[in-house]
Amino acid sequence: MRPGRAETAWIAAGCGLILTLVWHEMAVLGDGFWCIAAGDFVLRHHAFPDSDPFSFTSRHVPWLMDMPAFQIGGAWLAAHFGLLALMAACTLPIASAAAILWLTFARDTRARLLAFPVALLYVLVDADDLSARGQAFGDLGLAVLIILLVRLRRGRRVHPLWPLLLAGVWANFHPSFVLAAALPVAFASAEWLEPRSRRAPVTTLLVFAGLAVVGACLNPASLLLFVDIAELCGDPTTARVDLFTTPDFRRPQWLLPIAVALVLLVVLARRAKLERARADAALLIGFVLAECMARRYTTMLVAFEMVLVAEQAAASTSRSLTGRASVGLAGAAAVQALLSAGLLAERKDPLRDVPAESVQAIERLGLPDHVLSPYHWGGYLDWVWAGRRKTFIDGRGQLFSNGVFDDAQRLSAAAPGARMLLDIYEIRTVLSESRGPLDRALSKDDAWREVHRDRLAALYVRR
Amino acid sequence: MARRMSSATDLSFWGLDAPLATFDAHGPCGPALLGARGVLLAAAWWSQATREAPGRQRWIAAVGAAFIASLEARGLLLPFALLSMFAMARSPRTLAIAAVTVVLCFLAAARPAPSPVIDDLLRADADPVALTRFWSMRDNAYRARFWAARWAAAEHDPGEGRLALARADWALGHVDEARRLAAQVVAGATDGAARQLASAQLAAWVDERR
Repeated sequence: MRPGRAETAWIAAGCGLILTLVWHEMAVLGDGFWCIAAGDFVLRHHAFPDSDPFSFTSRHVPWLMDMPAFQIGGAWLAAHFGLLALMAACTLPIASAAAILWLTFARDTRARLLAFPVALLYVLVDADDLSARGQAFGDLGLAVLIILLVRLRRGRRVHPLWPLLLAGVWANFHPSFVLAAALPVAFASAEWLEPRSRRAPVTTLLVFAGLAVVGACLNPASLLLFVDIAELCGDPTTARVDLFTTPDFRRPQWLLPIAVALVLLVVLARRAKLERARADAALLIGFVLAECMARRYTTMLVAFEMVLVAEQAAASTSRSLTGRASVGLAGAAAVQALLSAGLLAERKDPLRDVPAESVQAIERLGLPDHVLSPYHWGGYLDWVWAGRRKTFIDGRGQLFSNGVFDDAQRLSAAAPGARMLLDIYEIRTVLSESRGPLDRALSKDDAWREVHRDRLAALYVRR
Repeated sequence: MARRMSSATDLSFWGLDAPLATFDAHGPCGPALLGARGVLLAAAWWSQATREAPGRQRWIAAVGAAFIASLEARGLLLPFALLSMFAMARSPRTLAIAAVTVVLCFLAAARPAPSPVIDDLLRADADPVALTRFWSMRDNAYRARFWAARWAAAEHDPGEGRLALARADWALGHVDEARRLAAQVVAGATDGAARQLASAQLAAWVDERR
């Protein structure tokens, strides 16, 4: 059903609100910084490094650039147009992912109205983790993938170039490209729950997965990327990175997607004898369990929920808009536009979350090397120091599965044994979170002297 | 390293050590408990939805609410399990399949789980020789050096411990110290094998520097 003028305005304002919400939450966190640090290295040396140029504690393993397009492209963008440009470039794909998932399957007003809050939820579940990094493009890849898979399940044609291109491009931006091969297999498996007469073409889904694997191999690292991702998934440090921990179910942003899934399960039960309801329920439960494993997967659940909400709403009888409803939509459009303007007026500081002042103080005061820093600031130090000074740890978890990841956590928490670890790793300067456990411990330690303190961090050197 | 054996007699196995805490899929038996929750939810949905019985949506809503409650408070796993089994009561086949799958989940969980953090620094009975080798294998020269220093300090004559310390020093870029220690082993080791190893190591370092 074609939207009227009021609805078109509301849709445009809705897209604007999604975009500005993403922009509002967007930051540059550790992962973004170590990515562009690696890209800077490549741009400076016109070659990939042989081994890790950034840390003094990492494992001695051959270097693998696992997101070449994002790392090099992001570094180029940040170098030429600044970090804000990088943040803007990462805002667009996330907002686009939410918008296309919202609008592709919501074919009428009712469906669009019901799916819009889920589209906002899609942004809000990621609010704590939204960062300028390859994942932003991974989110867009996931949205396109889900749309293609849903089309295939409906028996619609998808050109074979789609999986090849999607996985080929995605693999250069983020390791989540493996979903392009894994999700079609999951969708195909779910189809077995449907009676044979109602089953979607399983073979087509499996061919899609195969073509995605072929497409993913069309990148500089080719099959090595799959090996790297298998290692990353199996690495015990991965499960302890906050993104991959179980979400705190007492926070609404992580409980709400599960609640929506359960409401959808109730709705699907009403039409269990109809097409795809069983497969949809199985996939939904699978995505719920994925969220319970790692909060990173919540976006996958909400993306699928958006499709289901739109489909369920469209399956119900649609009524044309009354004049009053048009006025309501126009009013909502105005409110959304005002909210967007408010969010857009906010001044963004790309260095808001990193200890920029303390890092300047390290240089100004000429503090000695072997600087200890928390895990989430390591990427920023990689970027600022570019290997000139080496960092203790950064977000590349699998490089620190040699015990350094655990030791970094013990140090940050000032847990028993932390003082010994400072000696073992020959730490001469400590960059700690202001008023964190390590800061409190060192402030009482005669062997260490505070030399700088600012909004985010404190600096200590050995006496 | 210390390993923790999960067993069905542990309260933590059932999530009852902290019944009001939220569910953690990475805690003890976390994956098994998550798998069990998933199987019970799916089986309850299947048995209710495919039967098209009146009130099926209310049953699924109740099981769903119990599922959420069991995530909010681990101790509510049991009420959720009971409720979902009630929901399956009229589908004995589904109930049997779900029960077998849940049991398999727990059997899979009842195997030794590695301790997440290696607490060698705080152990009074730590074995410096084993720990030097352990950390060398894990590619952590700092930790290997720490234990090699203890091993070397316990040696009466310069031997393998001092050679291990030399190797760790070399890996950390303390080249002169590494050479000095290896030379001490060559000069003073009573163990012929250690002396030979130290000589070979010194020669290898000369080649490496070239």
